[in-house]
This record gives sequence, structure tokens and C-alpha cells, in this order.
Amino acid sequence: MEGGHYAPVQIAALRPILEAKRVAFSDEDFELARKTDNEFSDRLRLLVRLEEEERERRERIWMTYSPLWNGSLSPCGYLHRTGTDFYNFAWHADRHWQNDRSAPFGPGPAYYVFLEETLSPEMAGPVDGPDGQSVDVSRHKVLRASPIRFRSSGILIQDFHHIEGSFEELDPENISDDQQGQRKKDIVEHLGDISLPVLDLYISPNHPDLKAIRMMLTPGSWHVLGVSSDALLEEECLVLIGAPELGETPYAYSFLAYLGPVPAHIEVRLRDIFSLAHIADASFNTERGTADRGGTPPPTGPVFDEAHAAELAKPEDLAVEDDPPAVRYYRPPEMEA
Amino acid sequence: MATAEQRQRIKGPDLSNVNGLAPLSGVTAIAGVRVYDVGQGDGIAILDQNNEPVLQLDYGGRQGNPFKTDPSETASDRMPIASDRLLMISHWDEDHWCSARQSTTAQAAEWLVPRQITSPRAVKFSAGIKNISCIPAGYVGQGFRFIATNGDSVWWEKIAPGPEVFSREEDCNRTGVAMSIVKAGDPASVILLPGDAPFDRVGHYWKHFDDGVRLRGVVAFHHGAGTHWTQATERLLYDWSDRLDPPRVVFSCADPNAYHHPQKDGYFNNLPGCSYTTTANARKDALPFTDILFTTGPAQRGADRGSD
Repeated sequence: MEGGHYAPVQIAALRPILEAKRVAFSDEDFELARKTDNEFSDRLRLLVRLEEEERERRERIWMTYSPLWNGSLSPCGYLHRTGTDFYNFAWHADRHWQNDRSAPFGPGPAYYVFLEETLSPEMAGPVDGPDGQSVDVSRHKVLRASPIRFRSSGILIQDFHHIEGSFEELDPENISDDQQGQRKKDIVEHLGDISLPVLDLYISPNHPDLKAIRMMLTPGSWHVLGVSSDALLEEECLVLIGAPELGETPYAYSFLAYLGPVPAHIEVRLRDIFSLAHIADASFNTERGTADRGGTPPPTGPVFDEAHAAELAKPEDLAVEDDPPAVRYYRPPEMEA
Repeated sequence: MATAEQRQRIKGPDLSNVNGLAPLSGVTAIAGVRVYDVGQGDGIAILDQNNEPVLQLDYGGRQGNPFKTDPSETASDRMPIASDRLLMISHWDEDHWCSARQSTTAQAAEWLVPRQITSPRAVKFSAGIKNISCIPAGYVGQGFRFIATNGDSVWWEKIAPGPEVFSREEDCNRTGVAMSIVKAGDPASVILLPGDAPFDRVGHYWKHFDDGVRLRGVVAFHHGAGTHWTQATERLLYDWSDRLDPPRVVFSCADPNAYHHPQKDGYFNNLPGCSYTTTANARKDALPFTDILFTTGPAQRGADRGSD
């Protein structure tokens, strides 16, 4: 790697870190990394850097939370609004992160992304790109190697923090009609001009971190995804960025520079703003039946239809029915047996 | 033993209207369903007695959709929907709604959608729909129906999360809205529109099965995906299939696509003798859609078997 983004690495010191992360590196790998200054060792440096950041983060959290853990302060003390706080929370540890926002995520742009699906696409045929058009498979070696694709969509971090203060925080259990209407207006007004691209992360099937990334990137989860066009760190991890509504603009080829968790307080805001909270519940009118019975539905299968059961139990029906009422809860076949 | 009388009494809570809109107002009978060729994705209309669309399930089409290759073909033209009609979304994956982005008529309809954890793109899009509402949480896991004058009905159900579906990180395929179209009669007949959910996850499908409703048609779940099949999925189809009058299966997918769709073995093995077609094949025949009609006889349903 050119330049000096990372501190010199003591290769021997990496082993316990990597073992703790269950990253599979052979002795030969270590030897190669020790002897050469190639991209492989760059990846090791990245892991070390991430580990150091994680350690610092834990220390900051410990310092922040220690009054909670020893019982000297109520958790509510950390959730009060300050008005001047960018996040609306006085969480000191994260101010540090915010002030140096670009540093942890690599040299390129970073996104908060929502994972939509994981797929092993059929690369022999046309593969749909993030813009809905076919991907040029010949363009990169990863695309020719039966990669795993993680499809996500998201928002540039700076865009999100630019608009999040415009959105009222909603309690998902208690949203008024006015709040719903205002949220809908806010989405249209503040997100209308912001592109929310699709980000397709392709990872080589032989990538040593693939298993861990698969466990991390489950559908419906939020992450920080940093990209770089420099291809210095993770050339085996390709990121295509685009969207159908962006028109003829060709999608961008980038490489994964950072992938990490979203701080909890930011994830709360992401899940709030990017929710369907702006949509009211439908109003149903029933002619008969027991639609509005309330309560908690069963995990699967229909709710027992009391009206139906009562009708089945009429005396004139009993003479011709040997079976129990024709409503049942689903049970797997093995349970039936 | 199930009786004919029991078969006629297939009941679920009846909905006369949603937000003041009566979805089957003026519909005397339901003829069947129309599966549009939208490429990779779903776009399905429920047809009235005149084979006119009266209710829409999904408005998708991503990879290989016809609107990119033929600029004269617009989503509004292909999937017409009146502003006083209901448009339901099975779930919030983009291939089930993205064509509505270009369709002003679709955006003007009344939308009824599942409340799911979904993508930022879906959230932004949904905020642009004027008339949109969610299925309330208290109605999850229960089959409802709209009824035509003659007793034909459109059933739908927001599938409840199961033990394998995380509530926080939701697999929206398996917690979406599934639909079925029931032709009243003795016995009644049904066409299944499961969206991307396996058949066995839909509670009211089991009710139809238990009630002796005949299986006449199936739109393959998840565009014919080979994933999410379980013993229960196979068992339901196998036990439900009428060997003498097997159902018709339609796969709504692009050809080619990157998803290995459709994988037909599950249907061939568990619906012996079923006829099938794909929307991609319909495109080769210059057909913009494939209908599954209750009036179609076995011979006609089997006419295109093996055409893929």
C-alpha cells in the first residue's frame, strides 16, 4: 500500500486478535504478510485498526456508562435532550466519533445501509445491477468468480445527519394523526432530493471474511458501509452503487473500505425515520364476522373464527358433520404424525 | 367427513370496505387472475365477470421488465388500475412495487400495505402515495375476504411472524400479505397468490384445504424460488392436488434472471400433472399477461405444459 494511512504492524501481535475474531489465516499467510508489503498485509492492518478502534470505543463506553453500572446514575441521565447536541442525545462518546466522522470509514464516502437480501446470483446470465440494468460481468474478477451478493440501500452518512434533525422522534407505540401527517411531509420535503441508492456488495466466495460478513449482514439489519475507489484494501469486495431512478447515470464501481455496526443511538433514528410510521392504519368495516377482536394473533395460522364455529354448532348441521370445525391451527407434518 | 354444506360455508371476517372504499363494488363475479409480464417481480390483477381488473396485488417488475426495452410500453398501460380501486402490496421488496414509480394511475389508487421493516427506498416511495394505509397489527395472522355479489371472494392475510422470522430484522418475504381467490360453488375453487411466502405459512390456505376447496391455480411463490421450501410446503401442495384435474401454475419471473428462477421441481413433484407457464414465455408469444381463469377447462390449462 502506498502512503502511510496505517501505523506499522507487529505481525506477531496480530495472531491473538485474528484468532479472537475467528479469522482464518495460516502460518504461511502470516509469513507472507510479514515478508511483503502487499495488499494482504494492508488487510491485516485494517483489522488491527478496527480492533484498536473497537478497544477505544469500549473504553469510551466504559467511561460513559460506569456510573450506570455502579448504580450511581439513572440511565435517563444519558437520554436527555440538549438542544445543541447534533444527535439530540448527550452521549459524549459518540461526539468524538462524530467529530472525526470520516476517519473510521476509510478515504471514500460512507453510507448507512439497510440490508435487503443475500444472494448467490447466477453470474452466467445477465445480473441485475443496482440501477436495474445488467452488470458487465467481465469488468471485474470478483464478478466472474461466483460471488455472494449483499444487496442493501442506504443514505450517505453526511446526508442523514444533515436531515435527521428535521424529523421528530416518534414513539412507535403512540403516534398521533398529526405526527403521521407531519412525518409524511418531512419525508417528502427533506428526503425528496436526496438519493437513496442501492449498494450491491459482491464478495468473492473464497474471501476469508465471508462467513463473518454473512453472519453480520442479515436482512433487515443496518450497518455502516464505507467505500473507496482506490481498491487498496479490499479488492475482493466490490461495491456497485446506483438506482433505477437515477436515470442513465452509470453505476459506480467501488470497493469496500469499511463495514461496521451503526451506533445504537443512530440506529434508533434510522429505524424511526426509515419506517412506515407515516402511514396510518386502515379503517375496516365488516359486514359480519369478528374482524375487530383485538388481542395478540397466533404465531401462524388463522385466528379461531368464533362466528364460524358457532354456526357449525347449529343443531341442523350436527347431523351431517363428523369432523371438528374446519378451522385449525397449522402444525408441521411431523407433529401431525 | 367434510360435507358439501360445510364446503359452502367457507367463512372469514367479511370486509365491506377499506377506508370507505368498497374494493368489489359492482362486481358480480370473479373470473380469475391476470399475471402481468413485468420481468422479475409480481404484478397481478383480480378480474371481474368481464375480465376487467378490479383489484391489484403488487405492481413490480425490476430486472428484465418490458418498460425499459420498449419505451412505448408503460406500466400504466400494461397494468391499468382505476383511482377508485384497491392496490395491495404483498411485501416491500422492490420487485413488488417499483413499477408504480412510473405509474401515475397506480399512485392515484387506494393502497393497502403490510406494516413491515423495510428499506429506505420503500419508505421514501410510500410517502409519495396520497391514499395509503397499513394493515393494523390487530389484524395480522387472520384471513379476511371481500365478497362479490355471487359469493365469489378475494381472501387476504397479513402473515404473522413465525419463530424463524426475527421481529427486529424482518424477512419481509415471509411476513407479507398472501391472497387467494375463491370461486363459490360446490365445491368451491381457489387460486393462490402467495407473494413471496411459502404456501404453508398462510393460515387461510390451510383453512381452504381443510374445507375441501379445490385447488385450481397457483402463482408460484417468490417467482418460483427454490428456497424456503419445507416439508409442510410440499405436503400441503401434494395433499391438495387433484390428480384428475391438476391446477395451473404460473411463474412470474424474467428470462434470464440472476436468481435461478423458476425452479419447477417442487411444483412438478407435488402437483403431479400440473400445467405451467412463465410470464417470460408469454412475452415470447407477445402476450403481455397470463390469465388463470376459473372457467378454463383441464385441456386448455394443460395446453402450454412443457412450453418452457
